Amino acid sequence: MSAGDPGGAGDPGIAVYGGRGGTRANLEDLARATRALCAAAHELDAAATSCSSAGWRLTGPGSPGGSLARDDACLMTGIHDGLVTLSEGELEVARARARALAALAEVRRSPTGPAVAAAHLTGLASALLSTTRIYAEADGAARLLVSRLSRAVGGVAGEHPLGLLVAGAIVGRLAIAVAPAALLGASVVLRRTPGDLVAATRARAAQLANDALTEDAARIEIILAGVGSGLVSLPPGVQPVAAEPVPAAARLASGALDLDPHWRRRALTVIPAVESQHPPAPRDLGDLARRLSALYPDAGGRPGTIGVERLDHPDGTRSWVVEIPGTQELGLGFGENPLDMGTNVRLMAARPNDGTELVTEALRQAGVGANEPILLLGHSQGGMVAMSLAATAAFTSRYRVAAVATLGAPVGTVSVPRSIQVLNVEHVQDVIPALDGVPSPDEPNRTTVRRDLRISPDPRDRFAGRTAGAAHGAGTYARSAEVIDGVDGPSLDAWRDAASQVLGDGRATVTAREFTGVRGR
Amino acid sequence: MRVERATAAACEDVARALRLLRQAAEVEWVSDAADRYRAAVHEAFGIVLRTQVLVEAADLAVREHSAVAARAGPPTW
Repeated sequence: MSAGDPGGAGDPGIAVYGGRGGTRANLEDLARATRALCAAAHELDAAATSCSSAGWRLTGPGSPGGSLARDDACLMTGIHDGLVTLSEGELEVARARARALAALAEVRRSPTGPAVAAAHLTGLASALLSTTRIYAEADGAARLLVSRLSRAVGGVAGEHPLGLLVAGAIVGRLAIAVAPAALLGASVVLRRTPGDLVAATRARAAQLANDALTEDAARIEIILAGVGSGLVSLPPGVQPVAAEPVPAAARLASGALDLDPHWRRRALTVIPAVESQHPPAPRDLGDLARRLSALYPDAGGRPGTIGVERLDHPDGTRSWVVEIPGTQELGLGFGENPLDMGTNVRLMAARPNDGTELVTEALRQAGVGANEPILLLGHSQGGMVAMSLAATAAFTSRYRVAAVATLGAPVGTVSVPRSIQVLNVEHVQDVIPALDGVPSPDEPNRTTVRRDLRISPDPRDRFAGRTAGAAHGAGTYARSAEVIDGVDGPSLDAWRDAASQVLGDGRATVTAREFTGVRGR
Repeated sequence: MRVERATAAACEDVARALRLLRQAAEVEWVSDAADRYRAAVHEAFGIVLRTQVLVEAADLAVREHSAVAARAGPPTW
């Protein structure tokens, strides 16, 4: 269950979760409200005590006119019998005292008196506390259950791989035994030869795989949690259940990479581009995402290159935008381009990697100051790099990260400090953000925007939503970023507020540089 | 503590309670339950406003009594 801001202006496929308007933020809000109610009840109790004390003091000895008050009945009788004669002043005091006592009695007895009101607020706080608990427990309970089930099945399979193989063999043999009969039956029904059917199925295999990737990304996330759990359980002996199975499996894979000299990390050289450009100042996420997509080699960029933009504002302050593209090579660390699968594995394993090293070295060479706010924007692997840096204490103690935005990145397992506003953008048809095996968390500083490309008014998006590759493309995400710029809501506004510390009012002078990472041979 | 100090303290307590209630009403939660909660807090706010009227009336009466008693001096009977 997530409270969000479904529905963007003109785009029915936008849904916003988490952030300032999300469930968890609201639960924190409610906890604060509960504390305020309890404190208010405490104040009212104190008011009731003070009024009782005033009434007691008014009738007790030593109070103004206190001697008058000792025995009202006796006094009244004395006046009545002519035994006591009061001066006009004393009568005035007696009347004032009676009015004060009556007012205090009303405070004590009234259904809107402080004691009753305090009890009312205490009851309200108690009810609110129960509601908050129910919401907290129900939030994501169903998803958590399925994910845990998947992890448990994966864990059992990993602990007993032999049993899994035997079961697989039995199912496989059954399938092989049944397949000819099924094929023959289908050919009779469809009036086609068995050979034609096999050829048609082979031709459709790629389409079927694509459909599975684009239509079942959320289910794949849960399945991957189980697969990761199975892989983590494979080593001999009983393995502990991993809370985050995919990063745990990635740690195993990363360890395996380090064993082979071909895949081990090599020295990274970061080369700054000689020329600097002065593009217009970026104003929003759409501007930033378009610049990021232009860094890819297929858009004319140099392989292994990130963008670093210095923004000099009219008031003399300076800020920085870092644009980090995603995976460009499928190698596991043996190529020159650091933006490859080897870096992906190490990023998922939260191990030292060339992606974060490239950005850190580029910022050092660019001369970024400790108090100059930075916005980190990354697509795919670049998003993992951005989140990894924001989650690293050594980096955040050296640089001031104001905001992070990721486009199509599997970053659900990465936690960043609450002071950093994060925006995670995902396409429903993009399987890459699901590769971490968990959804993006619902946290006050963490806003997730999910966009269903299939129901976009833009035909280019609808077309992109039909293939896994295009649904993950940087260009498609750049269009989504433009759409998101037109969506309002407290969660997105919180991210925009943080981003505005870097982007300013759009009047900054921009100096854009590029830095290329090259691995040594 | 003198009588009027006790009722003045009660007035301050109620004013603080009202400020806290105003804080409690500031939630951005969006749901049916939140709507009910907001309505309940607004109702409580109304109750405490009436409490404030009662307590301030008592405070005024106590202060008037103190002023009259101070003017009149000690009783003669």
